[in-house]
Amino acid sequence: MFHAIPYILSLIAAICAALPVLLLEPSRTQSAGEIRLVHLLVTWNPAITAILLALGLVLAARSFFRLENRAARAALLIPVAVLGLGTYAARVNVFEKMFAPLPDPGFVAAHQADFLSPHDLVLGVSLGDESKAYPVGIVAYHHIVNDRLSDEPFVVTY
Amino acid sequence: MWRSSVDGIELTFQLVGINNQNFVMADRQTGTWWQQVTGEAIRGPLAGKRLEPLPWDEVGFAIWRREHPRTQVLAGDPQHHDSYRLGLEAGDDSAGSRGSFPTLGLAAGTALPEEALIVGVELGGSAKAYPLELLAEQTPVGDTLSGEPLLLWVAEDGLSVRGFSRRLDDRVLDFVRPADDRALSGAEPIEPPTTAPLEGMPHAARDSPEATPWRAGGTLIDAQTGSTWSFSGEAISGPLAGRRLERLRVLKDYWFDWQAYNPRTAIYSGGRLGG
Repeated sequence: MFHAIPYILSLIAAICAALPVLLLEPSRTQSAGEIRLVHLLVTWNPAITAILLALGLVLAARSFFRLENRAARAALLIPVAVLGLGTYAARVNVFEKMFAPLPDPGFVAAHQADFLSPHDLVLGVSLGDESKAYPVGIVAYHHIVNDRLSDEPFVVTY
Repeated sequence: MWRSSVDGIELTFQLVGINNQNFVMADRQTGTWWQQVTGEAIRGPLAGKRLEPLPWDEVGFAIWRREHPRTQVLAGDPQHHDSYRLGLEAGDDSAGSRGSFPTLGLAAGTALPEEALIVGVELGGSAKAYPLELLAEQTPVGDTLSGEPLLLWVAEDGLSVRGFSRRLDDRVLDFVRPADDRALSGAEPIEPPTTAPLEGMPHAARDSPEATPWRAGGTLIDAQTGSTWSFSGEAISGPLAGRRLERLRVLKDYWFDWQAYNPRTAIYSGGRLGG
């Protein structure tokens, strides 16, 4: 039974890491409870998975030295690998990987915007006497642009 | 588009997931989750707060450039330019916002298809969705929502939609298209951008200048005074010259998305669907 603990820990880590992605599946409707659970998991997953990984490594090492059977020893690699993957996954924002962020938005003057035709839609914003245009064809790809205009911070979403 | 200061904290956002088919963003400063379409904090330390909307315009580049000659334009990341849908010609289908309106063939008694594009207006606690296809066909559309007389106007480019209040002082104006649109649009086409593009950015597909004039949005005439109004909502000639209509916030959206966040929305039927 003692030797099963690393497997159980790895299962917990896998569930913690996979649940947010599974629950936020785009084509379904999420309940308030689900959103609450996913937010909790995303917030605490880095800590939870790190603790599970540390525990799992210690226990797997103990099992390794106590087990006689070679195959059973080798099989301990499986929970260790799953724990490692879960710890990594908890630190990666899948949605940032799927939709490239635009951390350093570059701008040109209107007369240089040769990549646009008159028929390209733009999201336009004016603050003070400054104006910026965000081509829909660009923001529909990045979805979020954090920016400022006349020293006012704002976020462009699409 | 949202102002990103909340309680004096300047937030920066990243994508974090999807909720009810609309994306959720998280701020890096507090880890709070925000619903993109409503600007509402749904989980986390700032839950219950709302982002303040920043008025914005979704219009064709020609109109924006004419109205804001000194505008800066987001050029994006040349690494991703193959993924951008840019340099569209009239009638192209652009990412999420169509260059021409799909023909839905709306018939009496049929529900709006989920993917139908609508223009949503929220006013005084009421919400109403105007199918783009009907707006484009009937523009200018005068209507009343929560007692406020409003004008929805699709520009000459067939892409750009703006909403205005039809109330000016004590008067409520009715708008019609001028008999000769071309003669009255009052503006010569401006030159297309000619400077060489940024390194790595492709040129836009170029139609002939006559086919894609860099025009203004067109004009309307009010029935009460006969003044001529530009697409920016300013009277450019006639008794009301110099006056401005109050802009109303409108949102171009898919019907399913609008409906999810405005479950009690009314639908504009254009006098065709009854109701």
